[in-house]
Amino acid sequence: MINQIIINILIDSSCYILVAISFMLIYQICHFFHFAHGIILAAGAYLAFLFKMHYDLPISISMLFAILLSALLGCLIEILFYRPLKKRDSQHLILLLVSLGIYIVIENTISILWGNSLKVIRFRDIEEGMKVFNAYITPPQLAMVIASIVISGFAAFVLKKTKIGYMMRAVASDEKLANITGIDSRSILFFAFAIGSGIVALSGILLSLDVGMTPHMGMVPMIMAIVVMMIGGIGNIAGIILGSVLLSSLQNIGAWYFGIQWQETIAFMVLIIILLNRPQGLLGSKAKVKF
Amino acid sequence: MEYLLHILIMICIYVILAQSLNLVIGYTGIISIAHAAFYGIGAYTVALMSLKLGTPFSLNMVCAITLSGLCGALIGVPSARLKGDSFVVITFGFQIITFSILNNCVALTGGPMGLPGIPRPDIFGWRISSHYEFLILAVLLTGVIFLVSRRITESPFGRILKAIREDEMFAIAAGKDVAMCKILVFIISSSMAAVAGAIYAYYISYIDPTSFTINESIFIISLVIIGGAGSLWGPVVGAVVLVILPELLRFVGIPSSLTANLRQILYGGLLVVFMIWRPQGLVGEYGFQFEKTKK
Repeated sequence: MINQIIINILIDSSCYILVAISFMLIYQICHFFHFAHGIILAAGAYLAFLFKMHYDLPISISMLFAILLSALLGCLIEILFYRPLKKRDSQHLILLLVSLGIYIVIENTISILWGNSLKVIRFRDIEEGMKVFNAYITPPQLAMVIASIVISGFAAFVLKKTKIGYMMRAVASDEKLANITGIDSRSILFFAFAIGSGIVALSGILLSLDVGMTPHMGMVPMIMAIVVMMIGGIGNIAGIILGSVLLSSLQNIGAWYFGIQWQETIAFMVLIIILLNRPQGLLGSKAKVKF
Repeated sequence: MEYLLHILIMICIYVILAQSLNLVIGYTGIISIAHAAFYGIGAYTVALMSLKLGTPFSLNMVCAITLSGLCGALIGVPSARLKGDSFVVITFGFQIITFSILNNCVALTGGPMGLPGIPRPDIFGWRISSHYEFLILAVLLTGVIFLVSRRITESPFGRILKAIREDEMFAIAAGKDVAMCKILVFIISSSMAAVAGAIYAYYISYIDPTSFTINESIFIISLVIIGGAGSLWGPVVGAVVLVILPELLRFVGIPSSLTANLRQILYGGLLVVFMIWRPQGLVGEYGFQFEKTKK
């Protein structure tokens, strides 16, 4: 019993880590909540569905194409909508509302094209999950755990040690100063959108392989990712990992005692408590408090 | 004729919702995605009270307003401490939590199956049963809300709200109790939304959680933005435009399975278009353009 809770915590936090890291990559650099991120999650899943079920491509090729196309979609949104607004020095509120509008439009486009009912990607027969330490885990869930470990490690490495990570941190810290020193903040932003959208599309695909997809599937994971990011502290991969584990632990243990419907309530209680007492997040630095 | 009356009643409900949200977004400059939650709290309170307790319309309305106002205070308190971006997440959270409670507490709220058979309102002997009488009720309440909004926005309190919108730091420096004003505006705004919820519940006589989702919150935001933030007639214009336009789609010959989605694409798309080209909306005053105190 306990083992299953632990495995569930592992799976849930992997999902949060993936979405939160991708969200943070974008948020760090553009400083507003890109709510359309949630719909790229769903778009990734539905594109994989399209390639696998309609065009009958093998599952790995479908996933690859879906991720690439979703990264492209994220970049398109940035170029078409955010870039012209930023040129005019728009307030973050405007960008937030635009991203909400984009979310609604794309969600309903998906709904028109594929319908609202739960869709699944069939690529193998339904079988029992694998037994690990007396608890069950299914292959998509295992893939999500592995992906989160790989991607968080890779992201931490890139951000700390490589030149492009260095440039991203510079733009995140002070865009104008970075531009003066010769870093092209616009291409860094473009890059962040591409990578962030790709990662969240991957998590959408894995999530849909686990529980299926609906057009609305991206909203709650995205909100949870924002909560995790704010709990853990922005700009801090370790903070996101800590926040994810903390949040999914509280949610799973809470679900055990109070029932699964209180999951989101627990998340926001935790968020409010942490925001009111430590607005920079658990592992964030005071200097970064923009709230 | 019934169809026309239905459209007019829905316009009234959305005018009330947009007016109340306009106080928060248009006058105080705070984005709140929780408004469908207050709408839902009002509707469910009225429905539950009249179904389970059989209490009269006026008592139900008062209770709905009070409960919604208390929840508004609940949201207002963090708003005093947190800045714009993170506060939006809190309002998002409140919306999700409220929807969760409405959808999952089957014993109390009927869960996804909703509450059917809400009895017709009986206001001191005037039994409302036809669409025409509902329209009269709706128009009366909308007029009251409009007058209340006008009183608020043209009062010193309204000026403080506009000051908060333009430059909060300056308002605090000038000695205004910004925190209390923010809490107050949320209480007022959520109470008004409850009135809309009450009309909706009595009129349709069946409510379920799907009418009070995030998408509905975003729709109310679009009403405010497209009509025009920060002006009294903006919400009215917004509600008229955004209720009538999708209805026109029906006559163009689009299959009915698509109309709900197309309606959402319409208001989502208009929201994006207006934010890019005319952020002050059709008749609004506030274009979100003024840069707040630079960091």
